[in-house]
Amino acid sequence: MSSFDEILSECLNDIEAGQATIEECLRRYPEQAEALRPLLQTAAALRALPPIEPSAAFQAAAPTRLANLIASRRQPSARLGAALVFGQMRRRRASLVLRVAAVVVLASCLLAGTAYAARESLPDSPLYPVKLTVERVQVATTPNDARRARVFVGVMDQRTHETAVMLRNSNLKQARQTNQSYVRTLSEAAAIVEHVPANRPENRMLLLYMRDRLLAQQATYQRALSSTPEQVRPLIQSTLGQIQKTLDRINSQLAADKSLLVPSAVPYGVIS
Amino acid sequence: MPTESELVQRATQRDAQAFGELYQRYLKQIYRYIFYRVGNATEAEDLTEQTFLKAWEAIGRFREQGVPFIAWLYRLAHNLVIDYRRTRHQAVSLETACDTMDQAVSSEELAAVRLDVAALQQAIARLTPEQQQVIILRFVQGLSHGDVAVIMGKNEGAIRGLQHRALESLHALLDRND
Repeated sequence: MSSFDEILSECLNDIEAGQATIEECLRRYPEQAEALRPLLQTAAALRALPPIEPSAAFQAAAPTRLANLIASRRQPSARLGAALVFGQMRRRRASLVLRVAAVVVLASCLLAGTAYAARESLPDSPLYPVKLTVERVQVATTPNDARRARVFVGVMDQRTHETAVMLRNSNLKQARQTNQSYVRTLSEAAAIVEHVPANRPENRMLLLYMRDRLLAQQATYQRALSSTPEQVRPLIQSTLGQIQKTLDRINSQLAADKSLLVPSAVPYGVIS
Repeated sequence: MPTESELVQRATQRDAQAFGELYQRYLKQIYRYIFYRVGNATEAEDLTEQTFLKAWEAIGRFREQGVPFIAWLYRLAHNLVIDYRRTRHQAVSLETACDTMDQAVSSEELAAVRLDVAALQQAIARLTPEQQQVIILRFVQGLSHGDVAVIMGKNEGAIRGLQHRALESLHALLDRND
């Protein structure tokens, strides 16, 4: 390492620690100043780069996506294991492929039927786990953030209905669970729409759609509140608070961009 | 709150929850590192996920031995970026990156350099992989020479030399753009 490398490193460290400015370093090493200046300036420019972070939507969805990726990576080895159990893989590759394909098709048909039957199931039904799995698959396979937000809103509709029914049936344990799931999904949907600029028509449609559904869910929760036992009441009130908070945020996003409230071709004076 | 060492220990035993916590801790750092190397937010997100997926697959083989977990993650990310470049065979796209950035270089000292963020990123993308690593780890991630040396598997002297050459190359590239 040359002495210039050492001088450069020393100056970089001192500037980073706030113990010197570029000019002070250059005065400290006048013979190297000419060579040092552009390097120190370049380093300073790099340090001034704004902190880059993954989008909120990515951060919100990433744990689920990673979990699905991990799960999907397990499948090949499981299939390989099954194939090895069948044995004689190389010699009977063609017939094995056909058999596996048949099993997959059969399983898919059965699952599709079960999933259909599970659509309306409630938390106390044996089919309810299938319903939750179908929802998770829907979320994981929806490629676009805006569409995923809509899937989340659909899931929230389901959880709202389930919570209301569980409360009505005095099944407080499951009411708590479905409500918890609602709040979790609400925060995931909110994370997506939080950074959606309302100045694009499709984003505005998403915000309006979400506001509509949230208002309906809020109404259901409010109705349920009257029949909610005392011990669960704070939970439901807290959920109502979170719904209101999300509604306020959506309203402020919609209000922030007034350009789309009035179609540009129509003079402002025409609209009251 | 569990220490990193405890989490890593549990994760090596295939504890998904512990791995999830490590993931939350290091997601942003790994994303930022990859982002500045590929210059595209979508690709950076994809490669970030792949890095953690690789980490999960290989976590059973991870032994601390003086190398912090984050250093190991940076190495995995580096290898994925190299593979990505090999398979893509194309110039780095920066349009998405530039959308998300604003001009941050404003002090008088920096005015002479007349950098804009996009130019800086484009210049970084044209450095050698080693130079990119040292520039991003030292100046974007703010790591010390010692930490960078551990991550890159070199001694500190070599990192200081590499840092010098990387800054020179970067300045030359920026100067040419002006």
